[in-house]
Amino acid sequence: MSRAKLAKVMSVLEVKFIGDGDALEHIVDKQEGVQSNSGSVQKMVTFKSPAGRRARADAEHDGDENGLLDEQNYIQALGTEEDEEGMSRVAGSSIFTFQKVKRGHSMAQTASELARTPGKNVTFSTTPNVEPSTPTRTGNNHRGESRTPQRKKKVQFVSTTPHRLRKRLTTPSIRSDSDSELSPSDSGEEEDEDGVEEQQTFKKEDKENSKTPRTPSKGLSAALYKTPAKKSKSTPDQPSMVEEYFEAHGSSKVLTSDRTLERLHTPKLDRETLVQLLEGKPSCYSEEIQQLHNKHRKHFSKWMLQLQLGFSVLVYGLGSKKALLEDFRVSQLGQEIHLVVNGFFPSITLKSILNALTCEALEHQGSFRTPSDQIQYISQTLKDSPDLHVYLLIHNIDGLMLRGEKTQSALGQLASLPNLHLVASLDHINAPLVWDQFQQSQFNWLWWECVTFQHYAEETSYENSLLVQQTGALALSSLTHVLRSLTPNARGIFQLLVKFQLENKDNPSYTGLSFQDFYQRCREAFLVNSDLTLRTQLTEFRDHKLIRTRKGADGVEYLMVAVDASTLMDFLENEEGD
Amino acid sequence: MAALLQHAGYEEERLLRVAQQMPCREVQAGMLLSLMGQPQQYSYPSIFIYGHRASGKSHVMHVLLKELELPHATVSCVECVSVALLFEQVLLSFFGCDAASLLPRSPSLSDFVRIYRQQCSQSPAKQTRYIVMEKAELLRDTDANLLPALLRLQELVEDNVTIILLSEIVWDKFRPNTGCFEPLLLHFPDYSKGELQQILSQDRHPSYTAEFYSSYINILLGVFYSVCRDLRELRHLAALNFSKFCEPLAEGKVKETDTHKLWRNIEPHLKKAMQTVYLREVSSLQWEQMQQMEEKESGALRGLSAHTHVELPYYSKFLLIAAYLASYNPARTDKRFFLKHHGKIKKTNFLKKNEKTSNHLLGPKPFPLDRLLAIFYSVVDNRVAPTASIFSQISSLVTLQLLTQVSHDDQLDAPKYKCAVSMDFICAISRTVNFDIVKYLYDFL
Repeated sequence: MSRAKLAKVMSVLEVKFIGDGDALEHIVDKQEGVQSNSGSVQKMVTFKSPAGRRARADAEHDGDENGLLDEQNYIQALGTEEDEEGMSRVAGSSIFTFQKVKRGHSMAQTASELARTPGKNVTFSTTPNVEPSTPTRTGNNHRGESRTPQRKKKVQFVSTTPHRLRKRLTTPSIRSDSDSELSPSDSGEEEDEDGVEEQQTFKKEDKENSKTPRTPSKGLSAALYKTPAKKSKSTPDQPSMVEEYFEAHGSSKVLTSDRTLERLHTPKLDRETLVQLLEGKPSCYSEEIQQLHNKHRKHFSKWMLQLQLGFSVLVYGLGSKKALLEDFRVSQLGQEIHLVVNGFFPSITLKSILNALTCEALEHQGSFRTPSDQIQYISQTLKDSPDLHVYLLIHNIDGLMLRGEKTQSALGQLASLPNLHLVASLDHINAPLVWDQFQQSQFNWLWWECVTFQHYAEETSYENSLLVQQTGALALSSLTHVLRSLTPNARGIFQLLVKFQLENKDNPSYTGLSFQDFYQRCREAFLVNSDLTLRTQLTEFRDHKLIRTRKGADGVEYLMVAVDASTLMDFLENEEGD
Repeated sequence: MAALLQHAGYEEERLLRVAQQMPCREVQAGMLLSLMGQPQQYSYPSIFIYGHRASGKSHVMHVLLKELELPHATVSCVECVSVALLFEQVLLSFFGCDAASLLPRSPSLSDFVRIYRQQCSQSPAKQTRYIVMEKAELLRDTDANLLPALLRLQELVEDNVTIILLSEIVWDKFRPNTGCFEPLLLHFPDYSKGELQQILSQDRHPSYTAEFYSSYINILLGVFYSVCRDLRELRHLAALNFSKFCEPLAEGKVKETDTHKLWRNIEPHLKKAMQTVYLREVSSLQWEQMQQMEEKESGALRGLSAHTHVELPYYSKFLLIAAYLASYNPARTDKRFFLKHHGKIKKTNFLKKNEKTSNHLLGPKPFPLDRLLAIFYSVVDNRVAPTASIFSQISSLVTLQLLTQVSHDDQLDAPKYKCAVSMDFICAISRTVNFDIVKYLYDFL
């Protein structure tokens, strides 16, 4: 446990920053007028709630003297600072741009033995070389230079027109987006210089832009297609995000690339090596993160009070909230009956949560026919003994396995019990979609913004990554994830195999289903029309590591699902539930 | 008439009574009777009777079995949600409570057969026992072995038992993959107009002459026969509107024989009834009350379908509008509608012939969440933060069935929705928020 915690503190810098970048894209235009005077760390905190604003104000008192920085500067500042500290980093430009392949590549390189070479290293050659470090340094210097004038300019903007500033803030991201789409991914040096040049040109262009759209907009407004009343009211920066969306989705052309990770020929790391490689990296803001953590800790007693008053506490924000909730558990719930649910765990089911509640917390022996019976029993037991308080702590209530309608309504029923208290954390950006009004009234959430900036070390450890080698059998969530992208017929074929395997699970001499037999069964179920289609389908399964084939003694192919029986059973249950 | 029902096994006057109770079904009843044979004779193991709704299947079976006092069990497959209920009902009506209580908690088919055999060895059948299964089409949804077993029940239990299946669906849709014992098929044809007239005229009002009621039925059929041939529905309408028909008579304005005036009086009334009562817009009780009150026009009362106005929160309305736009506009045209500076889009390029007019006919198309939100932000007047409340309003709209979620695969990552409301509904909604939705619809460009 403690080891895992340690690993979390030291883990993947890249992962975190890309997350920030994505989050920024979403958030930028929502922070109205507040971003101008915020410190560099707290920049990220500024979402929308008054709580966040308060937190930021506090932080500024703590003595963050970074002065006024806009989004762009902040990112750049981060980039350069890190470079100075000898860490390879994703610079501001790459946060704004949308370049999946490149990023993945740089991650791979970072994680490999080149990880510690200083400077921004975005080379795309498959052979690791140290050469480009020199040009990139100059690039960094450029950035350092460009930073000072910007800051001056920015101060001007803030003082005069905050609106224009906001405009400026959003437009570069459009520009860089489109740029990165157009430019084929080539050498890192060019890219790097491009980025700097772009940023410099933005400044000029933006200055023009900030004026130019203004003049036509007045003239245009009458001729616009929208209802005039609407037009005049709409604020200038809101549509820019919307427009960005429509611009991006305007053409139906789908750009695909055949530059896959496979072409890199770099061997995949296994999990241990990755952790080991990343262990040596201390977080550069560990002190501030600790301060944030301590600040959130101060609210614990408030949470306890609110829980007693019948609310459920929901913790949201950037960064892993696991440590915080764990801290809460240790400090506040030490004497109480409590149950911790790891929602991010890929094989968690509603049944296991309810079983844990009835067996461990309520010490009930025996089984229940349905989950609703079980909930009925729990609510009855808690009603009968009003002095009994049970605390339910859910890390990632929006976890992949807990998202389902049934699971959430069951949790809602539990949360509405007066002496069962629920504390949960949430991470998905669309997470509120899970609850409709009725469920929200059941949960009775109090939303607490707790931005921790801590790494999702444990939460992401279960996830599939293209860069990391998979170890062991597939978990339930990855199984469902893979299967959901397949056609219904393919799912049917797989289910057929799963059912057959489950029927034979007690038979130790079972070696799998022979291809001919399988083909016969699929034909009968109208799933395939020729053995060629089945072969193609099986190849796809094999690519996803869903099945294993083995040549039997008689030279016949035998097919097996490489997942253990209990997972398969859960899988079938889930599929039928849908 | 009764001559068709000649049968050796039964007394004459009983058959006569039977014949009286089922007008226009003598041929079918006679056929059934000859199939059933004399009471002690073995009958065909299974008979499948099919015909349209209200063509007298259940009625004929019921009257025959009741009047001729044959041992029978009538089971409605709608009621029997589990096979246990079915078995219990059959045993109950053949052998009494004792037999039914022998069934285990969740009986299987073999339990049923075992207990049946055991019971019928104690009380062997002197007459053919009949099991009538109403709405037999539901048997297809039960265990796969139930229907084939029932069709061969005579063989299985070695008793003189006949299964009669009643259904509106043809036998071809019943046949299991593996085949089964084929039942005897018997078709009940629809009633013709004359037959309907004859049957409906039977339940005349005692205070009026038969000719008068018959002329009323004639008028009623003249209006309704083109849309409805359902005997029960017509009978209900006849009963409902008769008092209106008699009204001028009670007032003394016309005589019974003055058919033309009566017809002129009732005809618009019947037309109105077709639009309201027949579609169940207005309940029968309301209709009767409306007839009592002279001054109130029968169209004045708003029917069920007129209550399409739903009060929604402000943002929910816009979310629904955005969903409607996303569902019925091609994504290609979003730039044109929601972008200020969309550049030059030629009208000729923009309007594609085949796409034009078809969107509303083809129904709503699915759209992803981010498109919904983008359109939402662009149609709503002021700035909206994407709060949890907005998101939960989307899911609430799904719960209210104003939106539907397509493909339950992914609840969070990229959910897809469809808009499930009609054009009228969305127009009413957008009027309340002063939004001109027609301007934004591709189909009305």
